[in-house]
Amino acid sequence: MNQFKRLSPFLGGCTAIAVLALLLVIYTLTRPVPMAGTKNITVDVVYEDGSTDHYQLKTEEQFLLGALRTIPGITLEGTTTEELGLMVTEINGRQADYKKGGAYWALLCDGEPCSYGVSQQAIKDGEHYTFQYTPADGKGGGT
Amino acid sequence: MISNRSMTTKKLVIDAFLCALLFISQVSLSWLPNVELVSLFLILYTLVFGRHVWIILYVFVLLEGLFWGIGIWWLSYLYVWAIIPAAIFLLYKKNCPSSFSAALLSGTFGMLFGLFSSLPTILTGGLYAAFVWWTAGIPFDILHGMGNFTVSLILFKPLYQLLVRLKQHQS
Repeated sequence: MNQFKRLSPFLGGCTAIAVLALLLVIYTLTRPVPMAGTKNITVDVVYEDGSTDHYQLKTEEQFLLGALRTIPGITLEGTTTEELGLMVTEINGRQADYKKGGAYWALLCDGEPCSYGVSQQAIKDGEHYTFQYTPADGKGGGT
Repeated sequence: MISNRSMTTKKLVIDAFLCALLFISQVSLSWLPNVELVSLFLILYTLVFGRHVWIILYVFVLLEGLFWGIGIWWLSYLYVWAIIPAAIFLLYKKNCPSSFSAALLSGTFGMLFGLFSSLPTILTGGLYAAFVWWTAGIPFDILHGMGNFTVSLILFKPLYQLLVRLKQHQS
């Protein structure tokens, strides 16, 4: 038991370092890598009633939020946290706030849920993004 | 007669006090991302008060749900925090760990917090969604681990001595 007590900080230290190294490797392999250069992207906003606004742009920005900020006809509101970036609750004056109405703006990349939020989503050339009004029951706007 | 009962009024009041301390520490530090004292308190409560930690822990989890609103995250609280007392019971049944060992345990737990918490996301979004959710939060898990390690290294010993005195006063 004494031997275990003496070994325990050493083993604990090794475990902690191994966990830290593993996390760093996994994060390095999976983190969003932004693309340099000009990218052509399209953005759709699908509202509660099913109506859609469509935007097409050419951008040098690396993340989606930066690109959206360059579009004059679109306004985004929400709450910003250090961990998740901007949590969109209002687009072009239309609200989808989970805390108020139980609905949210789902962000889709080529029709599939994006891996990251609007602030951290790295954009790729030719990609199509959709902000979909989504009630808590999961059915999208206009459905 | 009363003192022989497993849960005396005095013990109940102390459990309630310890639970309040846990809850207040969580709420008061919630503005600081990934800095918390809950892990350290759970290590200390397990070492000093033994099985009483389960009552304290699950009342705390209930209070968290009532205060912040019950959501998917709350499901993870049902098992994530329990890992600390379970690890302490398993590793340090009779012995008190050094500050450094406690800090290592707390730090490792902090680094794995996101991984443990991602399990309910498997139910709602599938395995890939849970993986993405976990990996996106890895930088914050590392900060969580570093915060836990530092806080435990500094506060473990003084708080342990205080709680032992409280326990002695109780009996």
